[in-house]
Amino acid sequence: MSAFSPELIAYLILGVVERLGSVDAARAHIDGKKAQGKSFDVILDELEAERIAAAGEAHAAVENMPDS
Amino acid sequence: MNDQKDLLASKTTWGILLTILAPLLSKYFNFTPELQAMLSSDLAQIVGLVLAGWGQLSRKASITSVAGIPLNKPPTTPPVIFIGFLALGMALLVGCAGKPLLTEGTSPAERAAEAIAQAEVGLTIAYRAVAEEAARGVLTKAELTDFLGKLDKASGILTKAQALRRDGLFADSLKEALQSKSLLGTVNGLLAERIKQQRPKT
Repeated sequence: MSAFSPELIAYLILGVVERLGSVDAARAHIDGKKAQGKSFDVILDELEAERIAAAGEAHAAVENMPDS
Repeated sequence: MNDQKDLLASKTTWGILLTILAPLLSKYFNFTPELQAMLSSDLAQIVGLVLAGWGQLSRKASITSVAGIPLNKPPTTPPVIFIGFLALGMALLVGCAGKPLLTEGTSPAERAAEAIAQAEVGLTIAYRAVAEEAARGVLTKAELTDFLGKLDKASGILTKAQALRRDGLFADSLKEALQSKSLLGTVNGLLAERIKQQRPKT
């Protein structure tokens, strides 16, 4: 049986594209803040707050997983 | 068709990657003007399609591994490799090779700000990926907890970098931000190890 898997190729490509999308969204997000005239200090503070919020959500999601 | 080969030895694979990545690379990365023009032109994609077609027409071997990792269990392997690629893409694109997110300036304050912005975005993406994986349920709670622990360590260093920046200690802030990014990059190693653990026992 051939182990060549079209699904594997699709997963690989989608993985790269999804991350590209995430970075693209982040770049647009920061550009939006800059367009609002926010200073570097304010933008960095907001990015820090977003990271802390994402960390909280990730911990909650993992905490709610079953143990086994 | 009984011959076996690695995915990375496939002309079709490289053709598909060239076709898809050429325009994306020119969009996200800075190259010389000549290379930038070539990547953003149709030529790179046409070459990629021809290469992929040639690979299929001349195919004599089945692909049985990816970078040396056997694919004896394709139904379980793809999601795990998918997660690895999440981190790989994150590290490549948010790392030092990417275009600046916040500032292209070279003053100490701007260099620190850019490094912090990249690390902040990388960590936020990573935390969101963990939350998505928790919902997907491919990895175990223990595995994701371990993953979170590493991200939390990078996060702590980044918090310190932010504090140093607020105090005006930009050189120290930059050093901490780069360390945070470096630690974030080691997540790739962790995930690669997990991929190896998914290898079928031979």
